[in-house]
Amino acid sequence: MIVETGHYALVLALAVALVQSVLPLAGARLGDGRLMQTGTNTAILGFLLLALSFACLVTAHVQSDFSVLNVFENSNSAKPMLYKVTGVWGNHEGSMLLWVLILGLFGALVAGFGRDLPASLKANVLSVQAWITTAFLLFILATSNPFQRLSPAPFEGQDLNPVLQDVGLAIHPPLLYLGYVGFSIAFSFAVAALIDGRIDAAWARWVRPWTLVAWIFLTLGIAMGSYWAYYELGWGGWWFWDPVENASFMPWLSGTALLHSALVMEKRSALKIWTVLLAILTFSLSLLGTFLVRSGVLTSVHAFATDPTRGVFILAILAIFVGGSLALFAFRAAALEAGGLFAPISREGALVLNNLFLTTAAATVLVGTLYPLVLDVLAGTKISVGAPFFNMTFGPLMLPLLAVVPFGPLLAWKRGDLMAAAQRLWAAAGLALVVVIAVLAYTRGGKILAALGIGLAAWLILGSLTDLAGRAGFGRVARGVALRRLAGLPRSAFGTALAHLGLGITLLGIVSVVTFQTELITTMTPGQVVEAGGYAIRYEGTEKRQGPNYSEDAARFTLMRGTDRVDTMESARRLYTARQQPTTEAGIRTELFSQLYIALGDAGANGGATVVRVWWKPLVTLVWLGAVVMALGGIASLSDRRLRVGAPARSRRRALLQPEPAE
Amino acid sequence: MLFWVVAASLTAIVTLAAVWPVLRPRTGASPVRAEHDLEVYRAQLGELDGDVARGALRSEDAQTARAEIGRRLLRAAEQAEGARARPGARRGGLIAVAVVVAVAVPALSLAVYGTLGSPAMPDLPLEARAGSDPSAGGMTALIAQAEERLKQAPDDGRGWDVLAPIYLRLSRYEDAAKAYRNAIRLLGSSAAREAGLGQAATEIAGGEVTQEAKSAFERALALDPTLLQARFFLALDLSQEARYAEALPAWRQVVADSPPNAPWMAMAKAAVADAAQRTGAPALAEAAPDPRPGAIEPPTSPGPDADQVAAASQLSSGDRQAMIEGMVAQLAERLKSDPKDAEGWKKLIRSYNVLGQPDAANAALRDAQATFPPESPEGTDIATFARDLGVTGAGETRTP
Repeated sequence: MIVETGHYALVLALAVALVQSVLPLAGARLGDGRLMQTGTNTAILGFLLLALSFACLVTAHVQSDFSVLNVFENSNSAKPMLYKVTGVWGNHEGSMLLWVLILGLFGALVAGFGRDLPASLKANVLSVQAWITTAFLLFILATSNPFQRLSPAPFEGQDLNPVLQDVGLAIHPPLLYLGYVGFSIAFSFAVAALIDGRIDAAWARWVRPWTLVAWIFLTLGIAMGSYWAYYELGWGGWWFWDPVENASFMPWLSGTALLHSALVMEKRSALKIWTVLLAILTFSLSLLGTFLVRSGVLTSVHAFATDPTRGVFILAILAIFVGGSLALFAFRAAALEAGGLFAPISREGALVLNNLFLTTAAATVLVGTLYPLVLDVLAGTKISVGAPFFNMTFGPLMLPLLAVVPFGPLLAWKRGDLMAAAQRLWAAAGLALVVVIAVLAYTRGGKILAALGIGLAAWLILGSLTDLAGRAGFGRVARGVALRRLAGLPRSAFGTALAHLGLGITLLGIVSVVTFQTELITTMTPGQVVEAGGYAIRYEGTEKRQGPNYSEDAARFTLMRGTDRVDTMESARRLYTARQQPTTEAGIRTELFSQLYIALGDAGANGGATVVRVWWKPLVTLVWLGAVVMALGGIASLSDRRLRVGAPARSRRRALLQPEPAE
Repeated sequence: MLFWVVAASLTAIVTLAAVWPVLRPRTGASPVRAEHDLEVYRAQLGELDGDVARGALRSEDAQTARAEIGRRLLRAAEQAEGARARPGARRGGLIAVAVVVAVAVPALSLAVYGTLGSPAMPDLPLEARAGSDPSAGGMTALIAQAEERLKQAPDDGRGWDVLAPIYLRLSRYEDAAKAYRNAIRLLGSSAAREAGLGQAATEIAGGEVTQEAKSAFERALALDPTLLQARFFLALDLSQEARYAEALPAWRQVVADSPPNAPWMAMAKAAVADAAQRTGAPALAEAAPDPRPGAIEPPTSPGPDADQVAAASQLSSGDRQAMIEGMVAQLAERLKSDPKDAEGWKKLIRSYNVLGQPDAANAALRDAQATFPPESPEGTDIATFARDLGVTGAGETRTP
């Protein structure tokens, strides 16, 4: 009964989404408050129904109800409880349900917290959000129904893809989806504005926090996915320019651009049209990512679905939403009111530069991702575009952007003074130069690129600190005053500084790993010793073990510095019995920010010998910690109370008590 | 039925909540959009002062910005002044909307669910399947239970002994081998356990009788020289090692001792013919399905070659099932003529249970108790054993 209730709730959610697609929009057209109010009710109802449906599917997974096809295909009664729950979204159908659930969540959040929005804007936003929900609910019910039953219920389930049986699955997809789908709100706001043919001043105020929320989650989701791939796949890499990674990276790039242009719009009412376009583009890239992953045109860990009808369905959704919104944009953009003016050298100008670089970078990634697919379709030639392409295109695009990042926050709005900004940055530049020279000296001049890269990272980190210090007035006023002023700075100032600091930290990690890591692939027999990261690593032998749903060969290693035994490490090869699929469990030892990484290759034919890959990865964790710092910056910025605008009713009362200064 | 009550309540609540705002009387006019804009511009003016104070904006720029925002503010104020709340939809229209929604939501939901859903199908979680009758799911649950128990008490030899043949049948050979090894370690060697271990090891090796398997079968034969299973695989080993001269008599013995309709018979006969052809010896008369006078395989029509035997040695799961069923049938026959064999009865009950034939298992328990009354030591042993398996002897006519 639970399963069928979940199924029915899903169908009912579709009916509710249809009502939400029509009534609030009609209400906004007619100016009828009651019709517009239905949007709030249906958005919350729809979310509750989707939550009920999702809870039912989780229950079926937890109880190993193999009369549900989805549970049978992706679960196993021997699977540990955590993976029974996370397995709900470790497959195509369940993850689509999570996708729609989050779509509904964002709609309900707008409905619940959007009291201060102009009623007609809110109604339009909720209707557009419901169009997306309707499209994806139709997709789920027609091609990917998670509640499809199986009779008679089989013996035992087929188990979850072993690569996915990891804590990472509990965190990565929900974060990523919150990011992906969060951009749907920016999209809905953009389309709602286009439908009305006008952009309210409240528009930018509202779009920015939603974009920030989505961006924070997407940043964390991508970082988490990268770390997961790093430790689970056993290749020792953390980014592969894999099409699926690119699919999540493109919305991040354009979402970052959107975040910055929304800032300009909010502050100066400029770049309105551009911001609307970016909002559409960002969500379109999210949809494109969904299409690439779900249509089966790609082969990857993420490609759960290889059913062509699904691909065609998502392609149709993609075409309707992207094509429709862009057509609407072309039709309406000219009618939108242009915003304020600014000089090229100004905060606005810097943000425009940032936008140009980020969107070009996103376009580069898009080309690199789609070109092989298009070529395959048109010419039947299979090529793979990998790291070399992106290193040659994406890298050179990002370097100048990173170099000018510290200037941006130091420039004044409307008309900035580049020389003044440069003067305030001389200390950071000098210190960065010292870092470059220090690295060159340390490597005896052998690694010029590494020195420059680390110098750039230092420049970013110091530059963002300079911004904070300058705003607080360190060096100009007494330290006590400066500290007090620092504490009194708006949170968004900390947000900017933290986000740029995080960027520098990530860059430091990337440069360090790319240039200083050591890799060793060798065959080892028990007792043999190899050197890596200043350790002598002795292979002790391999032990067979039995897990709940897998068997593993666990190799033990002893780490020695000189003759002192420092630690032991373990690295394993697993075989998951239900699917007869092998996985690797890399042994990773973290030392401050660096890691020693040991992965097992194939076992040797004659007893004891095994292929071992040992990496020493200096400062590798900074790659992900930097992303966490960026997300913290986003959170700081989000908590800035200035983003919240009072509702008119309240303001009138305030205005009576405290008259506005003369305008 | 309960499902329909839930579905109907859900539909009713959802429909009502969706149309509720439409049914309410008109509320006071909500603020027009320009008033929201006013609010934003006021906030911006406030921030401008903050920016100037922090030095993010020069004061002359702030002046122009303030003028710019001020202009927008004034215009918005004018709009707010001039805007009048629009009349909204007419009452009749709204009622029509409410009626359409109230009809369409349930109708659409039922139509879509009607084509996609299976309202009559109950949930079948692991526990429910465990409690239900011994269908396939019941066995899974039993195995899961047994595994759980063995995790708590890994030295329960009998648990391993029960589980081992089940694993073997489910093609979980690694598990089967482990279970047999544990059973042998804890309960000591027995012909059945050794032979089972050998079969599991053979399956793990993809049908090849490994050295380990071979020694297991040899130990099994030492304990029970009549054990057909062990003799079958040892003969297979000889064939695989191309020792046809030794394989031929071994296969002939297997064929001679097997019941004529045994499922492995076809394979054994093929192996006899193959070995005979390779050694040049004439095939046994019984190897040929239709013996005619002087029916010796003509040299132009050779018997199955080594590849065929090798292929046959990798029994399909259906064949294995048949082989097991054949062995069980044989055991039942033997117990009918010689019922004084408590271990044999236990084996039979367990086998039926594994094969998912609860009635047969119950019948076997009753037959066993006819020979060994429940008061006798063997009877108690059998009863406990059966109870552990979940075989109750239901359908019993006589009271103990």
